[in-house]
Amino acid sequence: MPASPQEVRLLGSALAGASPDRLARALVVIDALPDRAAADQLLEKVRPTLRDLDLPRPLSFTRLLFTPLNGLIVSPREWVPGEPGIPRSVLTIIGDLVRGSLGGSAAEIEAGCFGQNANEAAALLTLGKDLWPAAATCVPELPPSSWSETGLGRLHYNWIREQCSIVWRHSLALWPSLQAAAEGPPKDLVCRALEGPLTEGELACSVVLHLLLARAKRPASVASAALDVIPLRLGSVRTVAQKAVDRLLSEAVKRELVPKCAETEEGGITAAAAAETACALVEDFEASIFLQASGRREKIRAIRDLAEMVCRDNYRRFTSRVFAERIKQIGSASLKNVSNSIESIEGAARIMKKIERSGRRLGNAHQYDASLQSAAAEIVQVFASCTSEGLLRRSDTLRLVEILIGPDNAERLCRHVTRIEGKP
Amino acid sequence: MSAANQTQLHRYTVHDARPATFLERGVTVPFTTPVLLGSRVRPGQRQLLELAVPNPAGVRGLYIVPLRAIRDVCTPTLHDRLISDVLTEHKVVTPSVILRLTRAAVQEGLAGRAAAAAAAAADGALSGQRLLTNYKLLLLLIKQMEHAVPGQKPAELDDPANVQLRAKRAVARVADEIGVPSEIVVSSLEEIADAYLDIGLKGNPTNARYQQQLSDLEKVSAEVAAWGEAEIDPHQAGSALLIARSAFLTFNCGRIILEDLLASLTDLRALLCQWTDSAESNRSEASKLAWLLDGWSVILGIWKSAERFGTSSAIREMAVLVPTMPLEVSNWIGGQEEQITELQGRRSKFVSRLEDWRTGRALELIERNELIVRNFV
Repeated sequence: MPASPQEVRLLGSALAGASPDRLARALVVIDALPDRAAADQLLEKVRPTLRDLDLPRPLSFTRLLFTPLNGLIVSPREWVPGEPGIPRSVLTIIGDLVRGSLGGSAAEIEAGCFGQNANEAAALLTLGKDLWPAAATCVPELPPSSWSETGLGRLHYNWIREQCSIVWRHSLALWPSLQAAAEGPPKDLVCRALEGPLTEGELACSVVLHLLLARAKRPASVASAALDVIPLRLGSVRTVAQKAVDRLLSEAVKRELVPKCAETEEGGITAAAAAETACALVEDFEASIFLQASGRREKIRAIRDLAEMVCRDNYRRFTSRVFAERIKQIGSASLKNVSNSIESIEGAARIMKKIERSGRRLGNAHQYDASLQSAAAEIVQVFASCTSEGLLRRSDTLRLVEILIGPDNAERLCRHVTRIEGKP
Repeated sequence: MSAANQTQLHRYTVHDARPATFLERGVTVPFTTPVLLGSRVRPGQRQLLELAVPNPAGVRGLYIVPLRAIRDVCTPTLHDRLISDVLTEHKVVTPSVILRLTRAAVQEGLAGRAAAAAAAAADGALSGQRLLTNYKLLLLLIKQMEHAVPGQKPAELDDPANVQLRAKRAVARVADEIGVPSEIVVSSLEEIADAYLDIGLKGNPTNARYQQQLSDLEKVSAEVAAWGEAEIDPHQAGSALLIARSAFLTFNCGRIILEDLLASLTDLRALLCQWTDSAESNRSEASKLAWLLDGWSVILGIWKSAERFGTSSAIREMAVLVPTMPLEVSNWIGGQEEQITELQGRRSKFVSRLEDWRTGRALELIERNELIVRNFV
């Protein structure tokens, strides 16, 4: 019996609060559901978390087909007709259309997907090379009879079909920049990705540019690179780049870029990664040409202020709830698990430093200095009072202090520290 | 531009020069400071050691500094300060000396408890491996020196007491044939065992370091080549090809050297005769494999952790660290010059500016480099 909408909502909320481990286990069950629509509904709330965790997902024909379009896929509620984007509700139908049109070669690709992981870039590209260019030319002009189930009209079908075809047509040239999104992507990759769409005109450029900006770590640099290669005579295409930047900024202001979540180790990792992303985004815009237009400067300021505040709060929470707790535990750790305890404190110190690193760049740098110094002093204090040889060693102390305040300070702080009994 | 002008201009082209000898190339030290990864130490002026830091400015090249001035070029980790302090006191650099000193330094724990434990385990296993290599050589000597007696068990299947007796007889026979006392033969055999400790014997029954590294090199060469073939970005694909081909070339050269070294064990009597005559030159012959493979351990370590820390950046880093082949290699192995020259040309093309360490990823890279240290020891 299918679940009621209320049950789906409840399940979705439960997933949103689940730990990464539980989420990974739940994902295995959800991915095996025959009804993709139900699975999508369940996963709606956890999509940003899933993206951050990069959990392994089984590769299917449809998933492979839409991999290059990932940055454009949105929930049906967020989809706006006429703007770049593909509603998630149409993926299965279009996937079936392509599968039907390709016939035997689709079956071969589908067989190739079996047992593969959707996170493995090499496998995706090997199979995608055969699929994407072929898919670009095979989606029928008329929607199938099942299209009515999506609640969308024929014009919508044309718009979605057009976008899919553009991306699939240029997918191989786009692939390196999509893969390098976390590194910018670099200007030369952006330029190469835009070469083909530029010859086709405004629509192709708009779709590809939105796709590049969607996951880019430095979107302003991507847009600047695009403006560098788009000739001045193509005024409308250049406007597309400016519009894409405005859309991105408006979305970033609305979104909570850095979540308040640093009360566990996993939360700390998520908070550190989100803070780094926010930092890169803000710094990228501040160094770009896009600040000149009115309203953008204020939006960037708002993003920076909010991210800085949440980052500082995350740092404070992580330090007091995770790091301090682990330091306390070292005194009571049994000799058997002491190495693991040391590793876990080192792990917590690294997360603390990662949050601090971004927080410092976002603002109020001085507030972190005192906290780090006091955490380092606390470690030295614990070392001095540990009387057992197996617990915190001098080298452990030096390493922990080094992670927190750097090697020069570690040398200075630990130079005169000895243990009561003169243990190593 | 006229041909004459082009010739003039060509004179100013910066060539990626190859060092004359392996010693001039230096020996890789497993530093954990990101900017120092892959740096090599080598004898400098006034009998002091100098450090060659690769690719400091995003172009192919080295930054040469006195080892004691390491803090002037970067902020080294505490582990690297300790290692450089230890090395400064030494004048002789060879791969085996660096390995020994690194193992000792890592046990201090500044690269983490896991690395310290790995170094201690490797040190602890040494005496057992030395004993095993020596024993296997003795069995080989027995086999080579004894006349076939029908019904006699092979030495490796015989009782320990019998093996001892047969070994004594074999040693006495060699001593007699080459005209030295038995004690000299025994001590020479121990020295050979020591020199072959990391090289191992045929079939690698002692799980020796360099035979293992050679097989890793062959595997990584294939894996990186496959990764490069699937890569669309020409710079990344070119970098992967450079790594794969260099690894394969080193593997091939290493295999030739290994075969030569193992071949000399097929006539232990002759080897012992040479060894008693000139131990130093034989030791130097046995060290060739270590010199050739030097630097690859770090590259293999980067590849091993690529999945966790990012394959694309690993490829860029590996391409920068691919060791250049010194001219001396032609004296060791013939017939590889064309490939070496081709790869040398590629080296200059595929070099990336490594920015991770200055763009806030230093902590992650230090953590990764500590894993590399763990593999290195």
